[in-house]
Amino acid sequence: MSSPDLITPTRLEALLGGAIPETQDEARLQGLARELRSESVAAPSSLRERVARIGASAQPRLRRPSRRLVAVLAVTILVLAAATFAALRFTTESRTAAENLGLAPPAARHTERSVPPAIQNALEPKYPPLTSGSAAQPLGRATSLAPAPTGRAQDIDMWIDLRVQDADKVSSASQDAVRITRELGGVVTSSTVDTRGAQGRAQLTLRIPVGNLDDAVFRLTQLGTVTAQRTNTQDLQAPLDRVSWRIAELRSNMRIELARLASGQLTPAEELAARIHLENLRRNLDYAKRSRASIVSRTSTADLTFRLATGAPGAVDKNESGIAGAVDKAADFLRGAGAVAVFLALVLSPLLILAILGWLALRARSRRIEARLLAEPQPGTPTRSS
Amino acid sequence: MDFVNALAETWPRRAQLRRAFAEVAQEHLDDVYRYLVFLTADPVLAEDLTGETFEKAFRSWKRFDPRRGSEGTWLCQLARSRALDHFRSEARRRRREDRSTAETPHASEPLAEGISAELEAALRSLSAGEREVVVLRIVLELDAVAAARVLGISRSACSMRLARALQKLEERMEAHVVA
Repeated sequence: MSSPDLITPTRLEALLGGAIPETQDEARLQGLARELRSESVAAPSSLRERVARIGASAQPRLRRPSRRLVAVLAVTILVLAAATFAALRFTTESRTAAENLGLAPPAARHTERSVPPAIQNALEPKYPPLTSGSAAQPLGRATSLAPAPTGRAQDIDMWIDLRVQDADKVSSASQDAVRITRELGGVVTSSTVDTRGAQGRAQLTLRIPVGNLDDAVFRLTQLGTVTAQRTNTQDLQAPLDRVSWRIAELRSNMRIELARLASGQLTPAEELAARIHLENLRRNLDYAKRSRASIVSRTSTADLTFRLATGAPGAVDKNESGIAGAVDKAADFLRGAGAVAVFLALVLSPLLILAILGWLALRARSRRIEARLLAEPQPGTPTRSS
Repeated sequence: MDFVNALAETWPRRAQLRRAFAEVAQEHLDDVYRYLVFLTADPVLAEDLTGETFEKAFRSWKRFDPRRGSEGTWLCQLARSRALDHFRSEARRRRREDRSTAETPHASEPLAEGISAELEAALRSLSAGEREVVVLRIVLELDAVAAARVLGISRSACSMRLARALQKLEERMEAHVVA
């Protein structure tokens, strides 16, 4: 008797659906299926009663979430929160770094405010008092963040962003800024002017005597529309006091040594030691004087970064009011959210890939075990491989 | 508000699609038992596993979604899962006890009534996986899609597995006849 050929799955489906057999093998197969279908296996009565009891009992309530599920959810939420926190920190640090490199406006975007010209003209040139630290404030053309004199030594850094109408204005305003700086006894330490067609931007780094800073800020802000301004002050009084005290101490010591030498009561060895000591004191005094001069130099002038850029007239008002302002804010929000989403994707994607790979590996392993178990006529018996 | 109304309408509809568990259990008890008898080749074990399957089904009944498959398919999936768990634990137990020979405690009991001795012997010589596809497609008359869902494989893989199992069954029957 020959072994039956493997029937194609399509033909098999047709035969099971009642198609007329065309070969003896097919007829045998149909007969086999008929015999299998004719079997009669019924659940024993004991089982039937057991299942009936189960069905008759009250439906259980939905189970509370398992501890494992709660743990997984908690870990996921913690990871997301940590990633969000890290993303926010990362964006803040990136912005600070960009500011330090001069690649981004120094003020945080949400602190930048533009003031309509009408309000700007009405504003008095009031200078809010500042002590130390940094501040970015809403401002207008006539406002200034130049720190009020406090009588203390302070290192002052300022940034002013101005918008002008066109590239010609960028050039002329840059020249005016240089002129104003020189008139007030300051120097231009660097300047970059870039104009392309109607667009242009310029950045000037100015060093201005502190005494003329108010005047300089006032005159510079007349050159265009102020879009952002920031002041950063650092109190240097304590280091100045320290170095001054050190100088006085060194001088006192030097006077003592000179008096000892002038007395003529020293042995040659003591005189030599005194002269060496005196020389060391003199050297330290020179160093301390240089330090003080450096501090005084830092406190006597202020560094002012003055930036000019072209912009559409009226844009200032548009950003602040109506639907356009809301759209602008929404776009800002979406940009921020997008940045956070990209950051999260970058951070979480390797974890996600690992999780997927792990899940696939577990599933493949489970399938292999399952196939091995079902490969035996009596499952659960040890296979040859095991 | 519309969303709330839509939600309120959806839930009862889903609940209406679901029948009472007792009714479903009575209707599918024989099928599940038959499936497990063929899968395990052990009627006593099948009886235990069937009871456990329905206990599990009862606990999970609220999670059953009729839109994702019939009650019979769902019960067979639960039964298969329960049987595999049993096979795993049994294999572990046997390995632990280091018994090289496999016992078939209730192998003497017939798998089913109404089939020839040759067919019964041939069925017993098939692997559990082969018997499983035969019972699902031939005995319980599930369609290819439902059977594939129970087995966790594709429809074409299910058809191919059935073809091979039937071919093997025929060969074994012929071998018994010759013997």
